Amino acid sequence: MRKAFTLAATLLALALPLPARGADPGAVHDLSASRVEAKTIGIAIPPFDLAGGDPQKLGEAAARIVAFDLKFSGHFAPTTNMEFMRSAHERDRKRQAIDFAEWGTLTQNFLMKGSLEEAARGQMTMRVTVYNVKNGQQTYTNRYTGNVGKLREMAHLCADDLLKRIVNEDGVARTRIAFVGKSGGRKELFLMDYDGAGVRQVTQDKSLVLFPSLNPVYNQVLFTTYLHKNPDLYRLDLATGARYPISRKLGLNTTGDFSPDGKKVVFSLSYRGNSEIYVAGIDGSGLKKLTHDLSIETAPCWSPDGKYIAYTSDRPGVPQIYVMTANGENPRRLTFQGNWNDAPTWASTGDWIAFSSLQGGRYNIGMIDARQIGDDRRRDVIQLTGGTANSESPSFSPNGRHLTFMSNRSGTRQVYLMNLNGANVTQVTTLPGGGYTPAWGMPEADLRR
Amino acid sequence: MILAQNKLFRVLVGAIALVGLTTLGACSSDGSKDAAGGAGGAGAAGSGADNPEGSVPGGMADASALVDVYFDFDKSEIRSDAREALAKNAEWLIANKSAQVQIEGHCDERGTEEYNLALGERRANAVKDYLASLGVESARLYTISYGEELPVDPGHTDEAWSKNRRAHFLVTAQ
Repeated sequence: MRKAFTLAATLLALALPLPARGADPGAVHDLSASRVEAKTIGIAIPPFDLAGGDPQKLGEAAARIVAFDLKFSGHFAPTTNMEFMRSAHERDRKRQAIDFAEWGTLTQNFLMKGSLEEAARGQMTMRVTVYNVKNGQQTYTNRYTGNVGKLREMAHLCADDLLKRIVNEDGVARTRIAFVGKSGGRKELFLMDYDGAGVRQVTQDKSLVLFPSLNPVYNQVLFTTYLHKNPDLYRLDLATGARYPISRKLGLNTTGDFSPDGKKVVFSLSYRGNSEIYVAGIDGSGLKKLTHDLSIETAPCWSPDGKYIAYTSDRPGVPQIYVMTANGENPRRLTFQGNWNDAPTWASTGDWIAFSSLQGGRYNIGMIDARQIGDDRRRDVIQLTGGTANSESPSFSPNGRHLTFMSNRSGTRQVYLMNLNGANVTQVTTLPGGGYTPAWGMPEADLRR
Repeated sequence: MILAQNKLFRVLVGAIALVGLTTLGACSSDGSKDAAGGAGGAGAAGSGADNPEGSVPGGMADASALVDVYFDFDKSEIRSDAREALAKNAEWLIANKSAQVQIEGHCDERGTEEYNLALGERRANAVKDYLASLGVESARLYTISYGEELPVDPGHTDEAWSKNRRAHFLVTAQ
């Protein structure tokens, strides 16, 4: 992960002029117009073989899932010519030997051959072998067994394993995203795989649900619901569906974020008048007020080491990003660029804070260097999105290398993904009612109960 | 602010026109002395120029005698046109002593959902404080923010936005 970040940092550094010095408000560097593409590794993934004559589609689906994951990592450039790969693979099968010269016309890097076969009753085995196209050497092999119907999970695991092996990076192929969608015209909480597959509705409140956040340690989600005619903060156990109130005070109980150890929540309450930041246990116990201003303080998020909290304050007259210690001490302003910065989120690497940022009349995803957050230096804003649409509500992937966000560039608000250099923008929801305020979370299998 | 001069002008004119209409409506129902609540509720709802459909179910009746008030972009100050409207609303609330009223704060779709929810709360609170300053017992007034979630006008124009930046009133008990 550290190594991966260094790569991203180098790419960003290459793209940016030296930071401005002195008392100016800090510059805005628009990366959206001049994307730095990572150096990518070629790989051809023809449809997986199917023993037992299952429909051809399954073998092709497996290949496409692995290719999508590898492409999205930013490290690979999988071949997209499925027709060519299917026929080349067919010729290999007939002669029972791989024609590396032919595959070499597609890529000089890697070729992945996969197969699916029925194992025990209701079980399926996926085997993959990766070859170096240049010399025909087998460089990697792996196999996975799981329930038939778990094809996506196995393919995602396969992609993450290969990424780890080739570039030593923890991938996101098995992660998931919580977001707000619509059902019957009402906003409800939804969950999906990071690539937009497996969309499932979690709440049936038929009122208004807002601002989900996934626990990084336990299988839980945090959200605000108007179910009882007030915006109340709830935690929901995703394995059982059971929900527990965290805060139900009159007024706002909103924009919650779990602490890095998964045992506390930071959120905003307005029962004393204006919105302020509070912290409590995940059962709502030990409520403590962290901010004491007449202005709006909201949208808090924890630093990955648990020592700081970034949040939005409109003390300057317009919303800007601030940071304070986790005890509410030493609040300091972080952003000085533009008239509206909100919804901060802190990368798990600790290196970046991303947020929604009004630049040139549009909302875009901005990012600032969050290292040495205790010092007073002005930080430049790196603008990752652009164009005529809005992009808002960012959330980092668990490995800190990607962001999910909401954008209306397709005409309606939907959920998108991108890399930290602004490349690989990928729309993952196309829901009639839209997709809002996504929150990226860990793979379910890696969470405690 | 970012609002162009003529844009701001149009917003103000639009809001004043709206307030004018609804103020007229409120006057006539006041004049008929036909207790603005109860039966008046259903009758007035049909003719009301100001009948937002955004409200979430839960209120008992739409307080047709209570008119919406409007705000400038990213602001929660009570505008001069809103002061007139709130003076009328205060009259009704003082005349109907048992009415409990929910004040909903709303924002337009621009801006971020997170901050807008807090801004809606501040707008509702500003209205509550203003009504209290006119002699309405604040214990009868509840605030709730819906941020940008329940626009009256789903459009993406200056006109739609100016209508959506509002405080709306819902009589929850009478």
